[in-house]
Amino acid sequence: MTVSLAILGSCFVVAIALGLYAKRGHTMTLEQWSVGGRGFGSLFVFLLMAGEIYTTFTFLGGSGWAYGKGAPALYILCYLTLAYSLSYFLLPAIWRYARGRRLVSQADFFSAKYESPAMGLLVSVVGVAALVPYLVLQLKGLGIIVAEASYGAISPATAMWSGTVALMVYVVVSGVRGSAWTATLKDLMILIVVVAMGVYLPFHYHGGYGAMFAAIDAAKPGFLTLPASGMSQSWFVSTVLLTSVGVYTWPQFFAGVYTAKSENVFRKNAVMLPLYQLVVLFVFFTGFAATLAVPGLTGADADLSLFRLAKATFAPWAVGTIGAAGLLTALVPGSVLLITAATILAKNVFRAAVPHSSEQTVGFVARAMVPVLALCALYLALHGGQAIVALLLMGYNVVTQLFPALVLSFGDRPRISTTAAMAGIIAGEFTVAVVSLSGMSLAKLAPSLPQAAKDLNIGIVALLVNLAVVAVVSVFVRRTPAAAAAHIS
Amino acid sequence: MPADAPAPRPHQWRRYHALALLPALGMLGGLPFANRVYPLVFGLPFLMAWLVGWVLATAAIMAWVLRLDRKHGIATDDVTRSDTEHERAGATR
Repeated sequence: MTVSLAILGSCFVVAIALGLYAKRGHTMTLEQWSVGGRGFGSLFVFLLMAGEIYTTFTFLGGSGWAYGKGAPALYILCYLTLAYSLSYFLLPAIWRYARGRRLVSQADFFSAKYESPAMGLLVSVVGVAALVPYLVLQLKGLGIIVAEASYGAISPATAMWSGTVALMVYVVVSGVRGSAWTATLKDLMILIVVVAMGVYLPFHYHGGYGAMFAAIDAAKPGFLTLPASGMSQSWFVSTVLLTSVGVYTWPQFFAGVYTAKSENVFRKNAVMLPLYQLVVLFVFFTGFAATLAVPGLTGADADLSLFRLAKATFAPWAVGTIGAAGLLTALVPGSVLLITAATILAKNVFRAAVPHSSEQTVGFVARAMVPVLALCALYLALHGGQAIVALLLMGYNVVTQLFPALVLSFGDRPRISTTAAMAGIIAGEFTVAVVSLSGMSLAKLAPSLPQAAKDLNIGIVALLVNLAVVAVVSVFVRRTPAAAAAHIS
Repeated sequence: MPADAPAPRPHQWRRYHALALLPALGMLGGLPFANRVYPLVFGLPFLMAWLVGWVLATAAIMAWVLRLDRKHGIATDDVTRSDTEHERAGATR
C-alpha cells in the first residue's frame, strides 16, 4: 500500500513539475496560453488530438462498458475511427480559416463565419455547458482512480481536491503548453500500462484470448454480440454516426486545431490515429477479463471493474503504476478542458460585454476564470452521481447540435442565414434538455414504432429537430445581402 | 478579413475522396452479417475482429487518399513559420 501511494504521489509531482516547466521561455499572451502561439509541430498536435482517446472515460468507462454491457462497448472503437476519417477534410478547412484571423476559440470561429457576435455568444454558452460535465467527469474519474489505487488510503474527495488545485496551478501558469508536455508523459505511461494489462490478464485468467471469449460466450450467451433490442444494431449505428460527427464540435478540438503549425499535420494524423487508438482494444480486453474474474459490479460500479481486477491480480507497485497512469488520464484532458472553457468565457463572453478591453485584460480574465470553473466542476463532482458514460453522452448530444451550423458555414460564405443557424441550435439544445431531463426514449415516446426505430439514439431526434428548424427558418430569412456582400469583398 | 491576406483556397473535391466513405459503409453496413461470435478470428469474437479489421482498413484507405492528394497537389507542403507570421502581422483583429 505504501509503495502504491509513493508511486501515485511521485507521478503527481512529476506531472505538475512538467506542467510548470513547459512555460519556460514563453511570455503568456492569450494566444500563447490558449493555442500555444500556433507553433506546435506534428507530435504535440498528435498528442493533443489523441488526448480524446485516453481520458478517464476510456480508461474506466471503456473497461466498465466491456465489463457490464459487452459488445456495445465496441462503439467507442468505431466512432473514433470514423471521426478521424472525417477529420481529414474538416480540420484543414478550419485551420486555414482560423490562421490569418487569430482565432483562439470555437466561438471565435462561428462568430467570424456568421459575422455575428450573438452567434459567438450562443456557441460559447453551448460550449461551456458541454465542457463543464466533461470536466466533472474527469474529476470523478480522478477520485475513483486515486481511491482505488491507494487501497482506500486517500478518499475520492481528497483526491479530487488535490487534483483540482494542481490543475489550477499549472493551467494558470503554462496554459496549453503545460497540457502538451504532460500529454507526452501520459501517453507513454498509458500505452505501457494498458497493453500490459490487456495482454497479461486474458492469459493469466484464461490462457488466451480465444479461451477467454469462448468462456464468456458460454457463461453469458449473447454478451459478445449486439442484442436484438435495446443496444441493438440500429442503436449502434446511430450512436456511432452521432458521436463521430460530434467529436469535432467539441470546443477543445477547435483549440487543438489552432495549435498546429501547418494543415498537413491533420492529414497525416488522420492516417495514424486510427491505428493508435486500437490500444483501446486492450482496455476492452481488461474489462472482458473482469466479467468472469470479478463479477457482481452493477450500474455505476462497473466503472470500478478495471481496478478491482488489477487489485485481485497484481502487487501494490503495479496497482500504483496503473493508478498513476489513470491519474494522468484525468489531469491532462482536464487541463485542456479548463483552458478551453476559460478562453471562451474571457474572449467571447467578457469581451462581448466589455468590447474595448485590451488583449492583456482578456488574457487576465481567462486565467482568472480557471479557478472559478475548476471549483464549480469540483462542486458538481462531489455532489452529483451519474455513471461516467451517461454523463459524457449528454455532453455529446449538446455539442453535436453545432454540427449543422458548422458544416453549412464552409465555402466562401455560410449557406444559411445566421438567424436560421441560431434558431436550429436553440431548438436542438432545447430538445436535448427536455429529453435528458425526462429520461425519454423513442420506445417510450412512440411504442408503435418498429424495434429498429425505437432503438435509435435519442440524440438523432434532437439533430432532426435542429435541421427542420434550420430548413423552415431558411424559407423566411435569407442571408442578408449586406453580410453576403461583405464576405465577397 | 484584411485586404492583403490571400483568400483561402476552397477545398477541391476529387472523385477519389469518396473513398473516405468506405470505412463507415463497411464497418456499419456489414453489421447484420458480422454480428456473431464464431468463428473466432485470432481469438477474437467475429464482430470484434470485423470492426478491428475496418479500423486497419481505415488507416490504409486514408493513407491512400493522402497519397493521391499529394500527387494532385492538394495536400500542400507545410506552410513555413514566417509565412504564418506575415499573415498574423497583416490581421486586423
